[in-house]
Amino acid sequence: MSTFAKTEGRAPRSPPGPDPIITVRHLWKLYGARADSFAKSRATPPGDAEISERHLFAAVRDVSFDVHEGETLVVMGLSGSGKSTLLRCVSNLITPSFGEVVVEGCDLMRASRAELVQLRRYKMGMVFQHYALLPHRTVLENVALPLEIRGEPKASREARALEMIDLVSLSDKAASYPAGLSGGQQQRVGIARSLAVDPDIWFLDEPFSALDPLIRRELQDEFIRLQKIVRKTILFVTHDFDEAIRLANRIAIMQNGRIVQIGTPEELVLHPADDYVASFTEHVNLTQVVTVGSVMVADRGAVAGPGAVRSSARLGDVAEQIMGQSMPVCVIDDGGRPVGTISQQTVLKMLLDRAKTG
Amino acid sequence: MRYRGIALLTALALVALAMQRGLAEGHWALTWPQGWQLPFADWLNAVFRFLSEFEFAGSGTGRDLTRLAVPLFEMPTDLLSNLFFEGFTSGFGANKQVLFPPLSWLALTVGVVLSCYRVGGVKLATLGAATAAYLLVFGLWSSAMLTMAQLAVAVPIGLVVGLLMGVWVWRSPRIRPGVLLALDQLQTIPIFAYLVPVVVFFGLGVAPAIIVTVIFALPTMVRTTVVGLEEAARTTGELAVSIGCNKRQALWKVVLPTAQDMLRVGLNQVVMLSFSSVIIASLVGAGGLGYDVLVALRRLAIGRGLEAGFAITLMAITLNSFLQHYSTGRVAGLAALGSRQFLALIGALVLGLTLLSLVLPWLAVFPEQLVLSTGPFFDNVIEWVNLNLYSITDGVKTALLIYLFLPLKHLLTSLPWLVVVLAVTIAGYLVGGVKRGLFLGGLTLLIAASGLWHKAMLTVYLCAVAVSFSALVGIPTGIWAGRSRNVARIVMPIIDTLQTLPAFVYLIPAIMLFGTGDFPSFVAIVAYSISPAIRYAELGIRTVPEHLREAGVQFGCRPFQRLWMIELPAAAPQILLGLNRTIMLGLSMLIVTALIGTDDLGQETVTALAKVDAGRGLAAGFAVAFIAIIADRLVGGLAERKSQPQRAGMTAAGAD
Ligand SMILES: Nc1ncnc2c1ncn2[C@@H]1O[C@H](COP(=O)(O)OP(=O)(O)O)[C@@H](O)[C@H]1O
Ligand SMILES: [Mg+2]
Repeated sequence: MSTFAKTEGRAPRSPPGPDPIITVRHLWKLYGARADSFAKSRATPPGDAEISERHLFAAVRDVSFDVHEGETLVVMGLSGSGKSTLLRCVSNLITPSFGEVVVEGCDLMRASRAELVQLRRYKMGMVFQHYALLPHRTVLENVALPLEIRGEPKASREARALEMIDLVSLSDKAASYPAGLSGGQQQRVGIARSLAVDPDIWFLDEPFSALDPLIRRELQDEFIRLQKIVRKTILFVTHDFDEAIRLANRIAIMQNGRIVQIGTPEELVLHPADDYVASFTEHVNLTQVVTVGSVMVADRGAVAGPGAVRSSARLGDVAEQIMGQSMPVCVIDDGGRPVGTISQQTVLKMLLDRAKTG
Repeated sequence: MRYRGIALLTALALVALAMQRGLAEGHWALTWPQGWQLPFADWLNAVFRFLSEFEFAGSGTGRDLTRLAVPLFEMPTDLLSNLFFEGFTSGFGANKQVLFPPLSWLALTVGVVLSCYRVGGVKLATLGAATAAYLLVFGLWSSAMLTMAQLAVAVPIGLVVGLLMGVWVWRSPRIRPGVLLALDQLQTIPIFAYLVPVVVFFGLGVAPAIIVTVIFALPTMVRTTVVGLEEAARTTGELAVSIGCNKRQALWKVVLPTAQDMLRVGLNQVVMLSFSSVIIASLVGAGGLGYDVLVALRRLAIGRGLEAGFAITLMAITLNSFLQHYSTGRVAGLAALGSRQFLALIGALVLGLTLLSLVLPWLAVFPEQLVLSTGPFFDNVIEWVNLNLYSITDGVKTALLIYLFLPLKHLLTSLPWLVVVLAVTIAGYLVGGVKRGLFLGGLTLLIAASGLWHKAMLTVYLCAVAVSFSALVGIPTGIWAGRSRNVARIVMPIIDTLQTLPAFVYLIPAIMLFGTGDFPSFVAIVAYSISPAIRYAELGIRTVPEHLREAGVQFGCRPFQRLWMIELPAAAPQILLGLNRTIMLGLSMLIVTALIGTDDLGQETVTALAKVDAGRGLAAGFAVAFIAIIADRLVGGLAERKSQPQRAGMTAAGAD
């Protein structure tokens, strides 16, 4: 709780959209014998002592965060830390024990079954770790399934499904069965299926964890490309910190059911809240994460010369350019206005820092 | 722990000996006293009487109500049998008028062959043609059509009811384990035991025959459906909910289609079991091929019995193969025609040929001159056997009877019931802990209390001899087949065939060679029950993980050491499962052999059937089921333990 407040206090870089699409407040999920009836019987979450006394187990404890429009929030943590449980609480595949989940203004804890079904059919898409493709349906039929479920006529749903299959570059496999596809291809089908209903919110639970490293990387690139096209609000679960850094606008790090820190990759890398977070960040190549803006010396009066660098640029991408100059380089914002300077020493320090540790 | 078990059981044996020596004949610890007997049969009869005679609010007794359901089964069957071979008529006797002739044999054959061709290509069409030709040539056409008419009603009922029940059980997680367990136990009650209650409620004829068939096939279908749905639900996970399926959509669009492979297995089982119950169904008036076999059996008409028995198998294989192909939805031949056009073509051909049969008599009835019979051939064979082999078969039979069967029979039937109850309890405890020990001991006690003890021990004796023989021959054969492809290539097709023949058919050669009594029963049981012993052993050895084998080679094991120290322990759970199946099949065959004169629980059910004594039949049926459960829990429990040694160790250490 305290670390959470700390990161909130540091006011992360303004998220991509202004309005939160997903709001989660003080969310709890208890497991154990009669956990559900116990949760129903009371309004506030139990303390640690009572939890252990009743042999319950809190898979998610007191989690709060927002996801803004068009933002990718990646939930990262070791296996068993409660990531999937959190994701399932937010998508309401399981009912949270305590707390509040609001999705697009709809309070999921109070929504009727029918409202939830409508929400799932029109607003949410989900990708599963093990694909969950139906073996006796072709790729086309698998992708068209969610549309079929919401009652769309055959011609229009197949047209839309083909469009999605095309989007994930599997047009030549539309008539194949899942068994004939590689793991990477199967997950592409899973992605196409989850996008078929054109959801606003996209849930992905370790979608690439079952794949080989090379294929995983390929699909991460695919994901980045797709997100540029479809611009969804995304909750993405992974246990791979590198993946989180590549894909996230913000990352929430989970441990034992709590979020220990939430922030941009840069914030986590530069200011890990505790040793647990640091254990993930310490092997990260700083220059791939840190932007010019976060290490520059602020100075609105700096003179913008021809060699100026943008404050949003990653250090690694502009290091060569800066090091080629003899004087500190001017930093400009996206509008081209000067906001500060960055010295060669700063860049060198960042480059060397990680060379020492790893 | 193992030594403690052996020590306990040895001590028990000594106690038994001492009791037999020391206690007077008729002592309560030796034979269960008359006065303590619990009249289970009477109680069951009281329940049936209550149900069948209870007045349901003016709408008649229970029996009246069930009798009302009879036409529901009879009408569709009559319709089909009229269509297939009787023709539609009006009036009786001299006024009888043919409204529409039965479908011509040629019309049906052409229809079947073309359908087979469309669904499964040349291979299936050949099978269909061969089946039809077989039925025609051996003069079994009308019997087969009657059987077909009944199964055409029974199989869909079994499928649909089984599927619905399966879905219901799957959806009720709370009752699921209990129901699955109960289904397994139902399968151990011999079908004979169901016959009498069914007759009480539905009389004799087509309806009870269909109901018995459905009862026989249903548990397997329910079980397969539940297992299939569970598996499908696991693979599809949260998909259905996440895309906003309602309950019906989740079932029909996501879970059932994903379970279709398993459901196809259920289809196969229902077809096979339905066909294998036609002989038993003919005991309550089914007629058809089953009745032909039964009559042949009673008259010892070997040739006729084999002909009709094989016809049942052939039809089962053909229908099953057709349905399996059909259910995949693929078209293998005549693909140019749409399915409507194809149906129209078949309809036109069948109608045309049938109308033609009004003027061409050879189309109406298959020409007599072309009908064959193997009867004379088999008569000759028997004569030859009796003349030339009698001394050998009789010698073997007599020797085995005197030196093995009779002593064992004497030993088992003279064991004090108290000792048997204790022995079963201890064995159950050793295998699965205190709870299982008490449960199995309790079942044994119930058998003793039912007054069926002597018959039960006779059942155990014959089953034990036959199953031991099956195991002694079958397991090594299986192991051999598992290690050698060439052996497997010869052995496996043989046991495949053995397994598809209806149980009754095994009686025929047994009687032929050895007459009646314990010994032919033994032979028939062995023939029927040896397949799983071989099959599972072969499977177990063949699927020993390659890395274990390599480790063995690496250690420098010689082939025999490798078998003994690596392959056998790894295959032990499978081998024990096979043994378990062998016992179950042995028990069910044992009941069938009651027809050739045994003296055990099977005989009791058959006698009960003759006397329409439902309680007596069911009580004996339950006793058989109890024996099956005890064997299953002991042998099956052993298999479980072998496959998870750590956990078993914990249980044995007194966890329960
Ligand atoms: N249905 C359940 N019943 C009981 N415990 C559960 C259940 N689902 C998850 N858990 C427990 O909750 C914890 C978090 O699980 P999960 O959210 O799946 O972790 P992650 O996705 O981070 O690996 C784990 O310790 C797991 O054992
Ligand atoms: Mg997970």
